[in-house]
Amino acid sequence: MWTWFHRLASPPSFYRFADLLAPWLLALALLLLAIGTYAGLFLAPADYQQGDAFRVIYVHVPAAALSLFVYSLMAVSAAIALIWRMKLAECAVVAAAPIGASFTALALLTGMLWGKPTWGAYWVWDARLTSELVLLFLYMGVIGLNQAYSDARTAARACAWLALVGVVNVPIVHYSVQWWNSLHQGSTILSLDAIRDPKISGAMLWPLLLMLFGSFTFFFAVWLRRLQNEVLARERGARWVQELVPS
Amino acid sequence: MSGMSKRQKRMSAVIVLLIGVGTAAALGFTAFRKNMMYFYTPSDLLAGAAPAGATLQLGGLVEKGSLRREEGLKVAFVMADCEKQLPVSYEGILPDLFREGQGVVATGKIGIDPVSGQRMFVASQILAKHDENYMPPQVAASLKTADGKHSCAPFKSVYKPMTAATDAPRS
Amino acid sequence: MNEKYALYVWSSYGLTLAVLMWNLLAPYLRRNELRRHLSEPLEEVE
Repeated sequence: MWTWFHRLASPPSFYRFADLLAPWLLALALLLLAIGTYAGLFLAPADYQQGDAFRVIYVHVPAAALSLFVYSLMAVSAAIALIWRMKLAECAVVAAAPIGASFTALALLTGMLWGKPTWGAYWVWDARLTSELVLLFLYMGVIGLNQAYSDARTAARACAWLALVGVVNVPIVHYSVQWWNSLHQGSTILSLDAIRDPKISGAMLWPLLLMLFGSFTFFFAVWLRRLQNEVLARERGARWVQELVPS
Repeated sequence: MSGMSKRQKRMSAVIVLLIGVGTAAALGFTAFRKNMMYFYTPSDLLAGAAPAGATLQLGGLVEKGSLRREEGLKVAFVMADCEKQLPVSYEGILPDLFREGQGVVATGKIGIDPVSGQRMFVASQILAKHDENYMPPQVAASLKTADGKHSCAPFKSVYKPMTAATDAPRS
Repeated sequence: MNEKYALYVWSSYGLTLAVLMWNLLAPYLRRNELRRHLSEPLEEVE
């Protein structure tokens, strides 16, 4: 297993592996997202309290879940990059940040569009919304840091340290609704309590699960593509890259 | 330290950093937990936790049967957490999700009811705080008979230790 | 149930579509750019 891991982590074999995997992941993701969107908009019943406004959940929850998951993944890659000096892990940190930032912004924006008709306000400074905004700034910090250095390896290591420091914010975002009084409600599906005792009826749940799986699959597909680009840019002098590009 | 390889040193640095940042955050949040609460509960205000005259947020459930609509857009109702109740007055537009038995967060000031002389809350803004349960109307109707459909658990007293909040009874 | 939420719901789905499209297009364009630079040897990327 270890040798397999090492071989995959070598830039040329990773590049080819990603070329094989990414199209399938993307196709699966788009299929899941298409069915999930249709079901969320037209098949799921309206909520007894919120009516149709509740349908924002199908785009808001996957974006918010990804915003936390991608940051955690970035921090794990950062630890690997810093400890083992693995090039592919360095690329993984840098490649994940823009995707994570875009989904964090999406979670904030869709949350605002959901908050206005239900709570009565686009924004409040409660613990959940504030910590999610801090998460967006952390992502932007990683992106900015990466652009601040001309040397790709130095940049990636600086990004890795920031990704590690910032990971403390991930449990804060997740547990903010339990630790503090907030306007934001508790977790509907992503908590132990919710798994024991479902808080959303089945007809509303299955489109949400499709959207969640679809979004995560989509993330992996586009992350692989960005990783390929990072590898290509760094290894541009190498022979395998020259062979890859028809001159 | 001299016996460690470079990789082991880097690993220790990463672990020390994570523990350090985690501890700092935990200490900071324990010290500032009150400040990060979005709202006070009726229990907090009746216990005198908030400075008089300050504009603040009050969170709780709208007590069933307490809503009175007065002239114009004026309303009066009672807000409650798991323990205490506080009368609230408000003039303005209520959010769509405002209803009896539902959670709300009111912004306003502590005042004195001119009739009873008791403490009350004069709100200038009302936001609805819905819960994390979603269901179609038919399912909700079948649950109607059950008592206390909405939980008071999300309204944690600012002055109680952290563990008390998570142990609060659920609906 | 009612039409008044339509704008909020459709805007949030529209924003989601925009974010998905950006995540698809950005790496694709960058790859084309990289490949263009790589086919002209002895040149600095960026």
